This record gives sequence, structure tokens and C-alpha cells, in this order.
Amino acid sequence: MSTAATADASSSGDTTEGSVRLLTLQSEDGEVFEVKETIATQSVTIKGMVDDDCATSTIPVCNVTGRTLAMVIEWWNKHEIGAVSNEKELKEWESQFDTIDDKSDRDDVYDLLMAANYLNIPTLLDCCTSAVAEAIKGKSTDEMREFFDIKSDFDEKEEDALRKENQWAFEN
Amino acid sequence: MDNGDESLPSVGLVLPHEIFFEILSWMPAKCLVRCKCVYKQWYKLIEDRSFIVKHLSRTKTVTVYFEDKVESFDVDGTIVEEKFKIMDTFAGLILEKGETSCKTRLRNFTTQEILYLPNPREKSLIIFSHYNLSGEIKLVSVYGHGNINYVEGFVVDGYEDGNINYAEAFVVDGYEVLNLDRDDKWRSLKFPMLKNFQTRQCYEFLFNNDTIYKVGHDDDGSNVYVCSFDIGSVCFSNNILPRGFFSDLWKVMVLDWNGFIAFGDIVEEKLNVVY
Repeated sequence: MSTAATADASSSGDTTEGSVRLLTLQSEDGEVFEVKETIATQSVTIKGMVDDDCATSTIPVCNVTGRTLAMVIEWWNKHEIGAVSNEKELKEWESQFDTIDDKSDRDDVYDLLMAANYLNIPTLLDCCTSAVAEAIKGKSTDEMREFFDIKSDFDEKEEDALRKENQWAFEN
Repeated sequence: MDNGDESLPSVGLVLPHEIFFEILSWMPAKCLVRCKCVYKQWYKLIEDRSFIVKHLSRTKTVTVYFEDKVESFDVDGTIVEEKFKIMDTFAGLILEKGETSCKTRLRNFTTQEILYLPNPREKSLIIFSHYNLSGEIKLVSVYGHGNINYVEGFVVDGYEDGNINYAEAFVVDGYEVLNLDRDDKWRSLKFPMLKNFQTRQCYEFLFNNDTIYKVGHDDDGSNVYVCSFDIGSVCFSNNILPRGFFSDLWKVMVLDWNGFIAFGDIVEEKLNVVY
């Protein structure tokens, strides 16, 4: 299966150099994607492999599902240098990350965050982390814990003292 | 990425430490104070120097209107009012100095916390050193005598000009640095002097809040020396202006050329920019 491999080939400016090398990526659950090397090297991790000549056979992308990897590749295609001329369209596409309301949205962003972190894709990581920050900045401490599945490790006394000390930040 | 903290355990069930580091770096300062109460790991992370540096790099400049603050102090039983004037701002901190006393303090714009600093010399101009990758806050004081109102962006020393009466102008006596992390008092800086350096023929300039230049001739005017001091890195460097650019070194002017130090000679209409 090769879904997004050549989706944006037409808008790419650097195919003039002749044949573009394709890299084969395999997700954790076995899905295989063929991606242009020029696109996939937006991942610092993959770029390192290419530079070290370790990208000749299939590259296993552990911890990333096929569904998430397809989203990552879509991101790469939209952000390929020289490929995107329509700033507005890109902003619109990125705006889907702006609202993280329900749990499935959240889980998608979580998956993308883990993938962006593992593959080291700074632009994607910035986009997802700022979207999460935007989503939680108005939340109470309890709501934040719920959002991140965190259990408080402060005891009640400690938390009360800390809140008192920083009372101003809890007022509107 | 924050590779130095990889040994820290992940928090929660899902996200690793370095991702929280990234997420929290986008949060407004007031919200971060609330975040500190969520989880101990977050508390540590938010107070960490590397996080503060990252957070500052994400911060956008906002314009706010400041008012001089008036405070009352008890001096030997008498209540004295002191008006604090804003000297400089940097990284969400406001540097204030008393109008009549030498009291100098930092105010955190978000938390409104106030930190009093060791007193600088009486007639001094104090600024933040802006170049700072390590997250340390450094202040530089330029002290001297004369009329401090003449100090606007740069300082001229002993240079005769028809437009300004320099008898009243601010004359620089020296520089002091205060590193908030390490110093409990102001430290004097000494400019290394080149041989034959004529201090009487000396100009001093302060550009971009991070470099001080001293420019001087030697006795016969055959060479122009430029001594620069980078406040952020506390580094001095000496340069000699290449000969041959100007026909008469005595007529060379020192200019602020888009924030760089520049030398110009009007007769030849040539401009040599040195950084």
C-alpha cells in the first residue's frame, strides 16, 4: 500500500534534477509507505539515516501506526520546501489542530506528538505542542490533570500552600 | 529538544517529559504559575533554567504603558516618598531607579514581584545586557559626571562639537556590571588601553545595548584604535582602523550606522563600516 507517496509530485519544484529517490517507511503495524527522499528528510532522524547511507532498505518507524504515519506524510507534503505556494490553504489545513475538544481529537494529536518527537520533525512538533498549549491554557489545574491523565503528587497541604503563595495567578 | 533531561522519568501515562517541556514552553506566564501546582515534575521543569530560556525564546514582545511608581520608605523614622523611573525593560522585567536616591530595583511585570539591587553609583545610566543565551540576567551601569539628561542612546566623552555644549554633557568615568546570579555588588570594568592611546581624543559609544566602543587616536594621529566591549559575553577586543581609508585621520567622524559603528570622512565622501 502506498497512499501519500506521490500525492504532491506535480507541485514539487525539484524533480528537474532527474529521478527522485524514494524511501520505504514501514509503520509499527506493518503498513508500507513510499515517500520521496526530499520530503522525508524533513525528519531529522530520517535525514541522519540518509546522510549515513543507512536508508537503503525499508526503514522501520517503531511506535508509529500507519494511520499516524499517513498524517505525518500529509504534513510533509504540505510543508515541502518550494511545494507550498498557498499560504492561506496551509493555514486552513493547520487550523484543524487548533481545536482539541473531544477525546479522539486529543488522541490524534497525542499520536502526532509522539511521531513528531520520535522522527524529530521540529515544525510538526511546534505546531502540535502549541495547539495543545492553546487548548489547555484556560483550564483549571484539575482539568489539566484530567487532560493529561496525570495524578497529582502533591499532598493537600503542599498544594494549598502553593496555591496561596501564587493566589494572583488563580484570579481572573 | 531538551536532550539533557532524558534521564527524567515520563509523567502521566502518555506523554514523555520532553513533550511536556515543549507544550509548556508555549504557555503564558500567568498560566505557568498555575501549571506549577499541577504536578511536581512540572514544577521542577518550569523553574528550570533551560525551560526559562526556551520560554523566553517563544515570547512575543508586547507593548504596555508603564507609569512611574511612587513608594514610601521609612528613613530613620521619617516617611520619604520616592518616585521610581523606568530605565529599561528586558524579558518581562522592568528596571526602575529612584529619582532622588540610588535605589535600583527589578519588577517582574507578570508577578509584580520586586527585587532590590545593590545601589549603583549616583550618576549612572543602567541598562540590561541583551545578548544572553545562558538565561543569566546582566545589568550594565555607565557612570560619570555632568548632566545625565544629555545621555540619549549613546555616550560621548571629550569630543568637541559645535552643536552641544559638552561642558554640561555627561562624561563617562567608567562601567560596572552586575550579574544577578553571581554578584552581590557591582563589578568595575576596565578597558584595556593600547599603547599611545590618547584618552583625550577619545569617543565612547554605546550601541544596541550590548557593545561599548572606545575610539581614540595615537599621538600623531596616524592610527585610529577601536576598543570594543561586548557586555553580554564580557569580552574586550581591540582593532586598529586600516590606514589609507581616510586622508586625514583627525577629521574622521564616528557614526551610528544602523546600529553598527561606522567611520566617515566627509571630504572624501567615503564610508567605512566596522563591526
